[in-house]
Amino acid sequence: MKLHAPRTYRLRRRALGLVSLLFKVAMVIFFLFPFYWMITTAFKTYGESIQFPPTLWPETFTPEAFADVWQRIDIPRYFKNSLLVALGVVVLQALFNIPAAYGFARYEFKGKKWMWALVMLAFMIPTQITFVPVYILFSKAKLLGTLWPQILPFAANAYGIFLMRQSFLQVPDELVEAARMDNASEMRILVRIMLPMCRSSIITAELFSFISTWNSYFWPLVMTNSDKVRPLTLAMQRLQDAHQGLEWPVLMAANSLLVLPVLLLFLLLSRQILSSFGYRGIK
Amino acid sequence: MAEICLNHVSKSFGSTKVIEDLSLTLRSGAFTVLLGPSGCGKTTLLRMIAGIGPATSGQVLMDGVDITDVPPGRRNVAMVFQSYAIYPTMTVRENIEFCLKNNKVPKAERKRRVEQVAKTVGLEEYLGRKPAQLSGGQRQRIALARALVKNPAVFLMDEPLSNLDAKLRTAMRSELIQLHQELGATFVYVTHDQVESMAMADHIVLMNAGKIMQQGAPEVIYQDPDNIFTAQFIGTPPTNILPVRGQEFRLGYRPEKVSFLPDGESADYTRRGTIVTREMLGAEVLYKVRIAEGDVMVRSTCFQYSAGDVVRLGVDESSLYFFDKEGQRIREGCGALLSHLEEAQP
Repeated sequence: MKLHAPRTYRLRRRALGLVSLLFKVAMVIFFLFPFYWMITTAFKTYGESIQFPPTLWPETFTPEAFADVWQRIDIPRYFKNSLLVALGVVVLQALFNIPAAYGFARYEFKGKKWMWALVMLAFMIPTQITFVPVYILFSKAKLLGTLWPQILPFAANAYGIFLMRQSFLQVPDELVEAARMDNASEMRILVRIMLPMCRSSIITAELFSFISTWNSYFWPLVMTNSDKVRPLTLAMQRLQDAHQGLEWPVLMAANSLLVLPVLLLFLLLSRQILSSFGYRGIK
Repeated sequence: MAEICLNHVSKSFGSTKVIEDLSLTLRSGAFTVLLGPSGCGKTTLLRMIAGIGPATSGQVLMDGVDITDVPPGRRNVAMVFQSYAIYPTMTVRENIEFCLKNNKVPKAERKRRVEQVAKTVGLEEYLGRKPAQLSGGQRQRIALARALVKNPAVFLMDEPLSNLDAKLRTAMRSELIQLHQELGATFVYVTHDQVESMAMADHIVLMNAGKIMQQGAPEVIYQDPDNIFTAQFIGTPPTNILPVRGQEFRLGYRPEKVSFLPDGESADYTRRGTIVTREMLGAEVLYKVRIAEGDVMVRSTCFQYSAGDVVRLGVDESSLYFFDKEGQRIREGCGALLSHLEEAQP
């Protein structure tokens, strides 16, 4: 094999770097463009939004569509419903997922194997087949007029338990033993050592739950039959029923409002999410 | 200070028996080293004393009181783990303070004790830092401080120096010896490093495959091995063990007990051989010498020989060990055995 001269080698490395940079830029554009399109369209007039060729930047910049959304749907009410449901899910998941994951990760008990198998099985059941039985259940419990049908079925989830268990498993046994020698109770070990060490995984799992609850559309569509309990996603959908065709700026304004909280949360917690995928132990 | 007594303890993991019916007393206030190759059960014993790896059967006594079922946090023992087991999300201060908080020690006293211990180990300036910001040696000191602050009767240490580089290890070794002298507490120290054990111990317990091979003061272990395992585990390089032609017993002598004989002189045990290799150690030199019975190592201050030289080796009777075919030391009638050696000489 012929050896490359140092110069060509360096050139090749630079070229590779450039290609990789271009690729990254392309990926960023690919993922960010829909958001860009959504936000700019929201500020266009109706006429501009359907004109061809489309404009990349609004010629007349107007917040009219947002005002329109505000007028046509009762945003505060639906926003409150969505927020209550998402927070309810997150809080209940913290209450149920963390102890379950901790138990599966750190203790030996009778029936542990098949209980874990059950959790994994729950992972594999498609939500769609649970619609009818769950609906009947809540109907019998006379809870259909409340927010509970949107919260309770997600009070614990297999994905969260799985993710947190993996992260509890990564904590070295010696740390727990050291804490036991330091006369710490099991509860204290969980609170002072385990939870702080697994913080990013917990936050990530909770964030995913928040986002999927916030974005959920089909489940509330089936489980609600009054505007009193419907979430923002369903309300936004109603804007599509306009008679004179799709009013893109209005729809995009509504969508911008819908994803805003999620985007903010994501930006706020992105560092936690990143580090949850790499274990940060020290030796 | 406290005496620890292990009473017929056994430990098995599933169907694997690691320790079977072992009894051992660790003298109060002594620096005892549990020494042995990896997997010999030394760490298992330490964990039994700590209470974090309970014995399958048998008793652990502390000053005569049965502590077999006392939880680890209430045993008045502290442990330094091999991996240090420092809580990574806590600051140095919180790490040291953790057990005091768990034991409901008042705040003012906590502060005083943490600061005093931090000073002892040289961490005063780092109390506010996270462990990740500190070096390996400093983390080791956190682990030590965490044990010290409890002011326990017994210190358990599981290869605490094995993650440090050679220079730091030697420095910490003498610090630990000094600490033991100052505290007067019972130290139980696990290591696989025989040099470390010789340097630090008052009492060495040498183990192999879950059994105690020999125990005693370092001098005794070194000078008077009970069996081939002890003779070879202690000392660098290990004791030369040679078969004796036509006999069932085996002969052993330490590389540093061999001298080079001038022509015409002879010792209680004399062999002619050829130098195979030469390793310069600085103050000494290490030769591998081929004699009729096999290769032997010789550690000497005679630097003048090189590979290929023919030499005569001599060992005094007092430095010769005889072992039976099970590897146990023969202590009676060695004079008669010595004569076999001379007869067997080719």
